[in-house]
Amino acid sequence: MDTQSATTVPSGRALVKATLVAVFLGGAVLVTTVMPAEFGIDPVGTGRALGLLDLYASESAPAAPATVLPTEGGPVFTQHSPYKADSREFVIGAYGTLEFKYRLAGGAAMLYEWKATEPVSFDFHTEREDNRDASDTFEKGEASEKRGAYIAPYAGIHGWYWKNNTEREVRITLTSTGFYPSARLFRDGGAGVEVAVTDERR
Amino acid sequence: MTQRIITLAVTAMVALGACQVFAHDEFRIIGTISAMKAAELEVKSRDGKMVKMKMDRETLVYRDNKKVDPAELKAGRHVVVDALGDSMTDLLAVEVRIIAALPK
Repeated sequence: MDTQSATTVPSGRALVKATLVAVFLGGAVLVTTVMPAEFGIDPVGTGRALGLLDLYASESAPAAPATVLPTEGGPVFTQHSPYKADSREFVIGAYGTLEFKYRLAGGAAMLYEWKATEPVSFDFHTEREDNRDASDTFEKGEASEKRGAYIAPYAGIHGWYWKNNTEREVRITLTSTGFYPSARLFRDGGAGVEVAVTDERR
Repeated sequence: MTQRIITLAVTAMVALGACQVFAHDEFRIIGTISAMKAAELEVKSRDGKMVKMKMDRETLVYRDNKKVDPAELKAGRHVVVDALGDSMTDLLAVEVRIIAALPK
């Protein structure tokens, strides 16, 4: 038995008509929904009527940043004293001594580096604000340079006592950044003088 | 009895704590030995003051960066003394360096 399927081919006119209808419907969807939702353009008012403009607004507006506050004992802690950068050079005569300490509040931080032209004895120590007879030594030895970070465990003056153990003059260059309003300088065992620290970045 | 032990323990802890916190100041005296007795060193400092210091078995004496016998400390020798104490009238010499000449 011979089978044959009969297919009907649309006429050219019908194809043109179908294409025009499709273009019209696509255009209508573009103008009434896509343009208001994607681009915020609402020429016929359907975006507002259907709430599509809200979609555009929520997409285009930046998300509000989440607020994270430093936690007690965490790695980030707010400092209340002004932030400063300081550098200075000291000359210590033969067998002389010099002491330079920054005034820091409890919890205030400091980064430092010092270099000496010859090895010197040093003692990184403190003097408490609430009891000037109380002191803690945190590092002591002989070196020609040191660098580090420090967080003051209590309010007071915190810094270095250097001793030149040679008959030659020694120069010490100290650079630091931190949260200190001032410092105190003691030379050859003297009473010490308060030293203003101005921010070198300004 | 228990109360006495607790009292002693607390006293000892407070005393130890105080030793740690209330450290002596460090002094450096540069001058010439004016007198040397068994456990006392007297130095005339560069500014003319006489400073007496105690010495003990721990006191180290150096010359040319080498440790020498404390008997080397004789009147007329120039020295740099590092001492600990509460004031210039109450000092214990920790390190004494014999130097050739006083720095200017």
